[in-house]
Amino acid sequence: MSRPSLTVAEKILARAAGLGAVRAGDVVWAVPDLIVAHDLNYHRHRKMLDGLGYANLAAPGKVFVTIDHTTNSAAPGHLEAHAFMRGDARAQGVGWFLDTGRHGISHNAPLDFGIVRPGMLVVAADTRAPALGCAGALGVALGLSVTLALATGKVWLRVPETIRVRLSGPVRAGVMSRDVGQWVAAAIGAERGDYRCIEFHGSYVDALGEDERHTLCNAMVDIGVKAAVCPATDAHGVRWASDPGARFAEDIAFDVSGLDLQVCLPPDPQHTVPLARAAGVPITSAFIGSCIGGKMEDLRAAAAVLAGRRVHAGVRLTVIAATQAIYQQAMREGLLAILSAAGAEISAGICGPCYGTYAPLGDNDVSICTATRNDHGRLGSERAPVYLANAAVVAASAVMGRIAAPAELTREAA
Amino acid sequence: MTTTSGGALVQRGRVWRFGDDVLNDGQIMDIEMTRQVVYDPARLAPLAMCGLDKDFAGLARHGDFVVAGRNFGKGPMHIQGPLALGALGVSVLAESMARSFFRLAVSVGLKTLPFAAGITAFAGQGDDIEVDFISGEVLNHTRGTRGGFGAMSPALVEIVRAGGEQAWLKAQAGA
Repeated sequence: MSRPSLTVAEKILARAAGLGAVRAGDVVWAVPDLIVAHDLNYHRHRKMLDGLGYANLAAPGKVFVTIDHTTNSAAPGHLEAHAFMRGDARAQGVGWFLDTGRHGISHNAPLDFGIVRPGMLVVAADTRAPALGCAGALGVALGLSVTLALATGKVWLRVPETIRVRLSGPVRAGVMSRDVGQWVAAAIGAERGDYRCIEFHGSYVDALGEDERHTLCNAMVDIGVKAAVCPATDAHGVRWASDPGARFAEDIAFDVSGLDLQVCLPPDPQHTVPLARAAGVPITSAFIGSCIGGKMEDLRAAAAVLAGRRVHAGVRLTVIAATQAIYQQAMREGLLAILSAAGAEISAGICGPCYGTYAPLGDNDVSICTATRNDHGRLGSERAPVYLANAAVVAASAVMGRIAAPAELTREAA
Repeated sequence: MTTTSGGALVQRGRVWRFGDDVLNDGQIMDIEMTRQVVYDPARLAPLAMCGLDKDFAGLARHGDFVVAGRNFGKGPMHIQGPLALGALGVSVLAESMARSFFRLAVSVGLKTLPFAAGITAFAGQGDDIEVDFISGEVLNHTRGTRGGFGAMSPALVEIVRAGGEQAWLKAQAGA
């Protein structure tokens, strides 16, 4: 019998479930290769499981734990959680425990360690797990259900349908993966994205590095996807991509070569519009960081804009590298010196303002940032509007004191 | 009523009809309960479906069914909605269900037929229906009709029968 044509999601889940083939709609028990947890869930889940009769993790060597959401918090509950995590991670012998000092956001740090490989199944409690599809893995967010994986080493998963998305470029100068990611997510929409796996192909994707692919996959989270994957080839030469004859829910092609800079208007990342629609809005706060916007791509773009310039007197600009490895690379490249000289505050806050536990917005603030989402209240006050944009646009806006394209700075200087 | 003896997972009750795109936040559950991190099912149950029908929670009986259209439970992965419906003892039959809601439903042991294509044409408001969750067969006693709406996966039957993932884990740990 010839091998059936499968999507990449079907291939990965069949392998993880120990089955020859699975089909969209099947429910399987799958064994994840990596289980990612952080300081908003690990301690709660471990204590809950202990009460259910699971004193130990089923597969501690596969567990990757970070302190990333509440790093700078002084709240007693958070400090207690950190202490519990330190003790428990050591006692359980988890594969990776990233305490402050060797920190990183859980959606980025596994890439620094080179442990996310094509064809892997990665599960996490946190919603942004699909971002790890940048390396050809299937990253699935499970919420409370991740406790099944922690306790037993396996988890039930319903095999998703796949939308194949072909992106043709190249993009215009200054257009970053964030612009493309938000625009594509909004163009697909939650109606079509929910429960689907998005598989990226095309000349635009082929030319991207891992940072940019991570942004692309990460941006799909907001339309309800189960996963997003950029196909990749593993060390054994196996190509983790859908077979040519695989069944797709949809096959979509977008030409992104004419795309403008984009801004997501508050309070929803799907409100993606050309930058011109928001240009001129006065801002008080700017933030470059988060799992989607705190990578080398972002820090380099911000430094290119801010070199030799000063942040506007009425704006607080906070910059946070997503991981310690990114911070160190930015230091080696001299980016942090440039950003600091421009008047940016550089913090080791990990998720930082993107979870509202650091530099929260007040009632009268207006923010432009590279955070994941712009819901009312996500960065602090429910009354403070939040605009999302690429890192270069955020940097330019921080200089101007209003939402602005980087090209405006050049014009001003001329 | 629900019967689970002899391996069956059968429920008979009345139909409460809802439309397409029922939101988890604001329609199935008051978002304020999520903001206030309320997890007590007894507190949540009186608010089930409050954004669409304030009388529902008071009138629905244990064993009744929420029958809805496409994308039931869309929106953020907040557990308060599924907890409330589960606490009322109602089950959900939907043309399709949002990924986030389906996973939460299994987590809390809420019985569902999540991809029951054709169910809204099959069962009207107030109909007396009987659902076999294992086979996916539904009898409409009011209309005298019978239909198949997709069997529940055996893995999920085991979890839902146990009363949700935590109860299932506890049973496994003791086994």
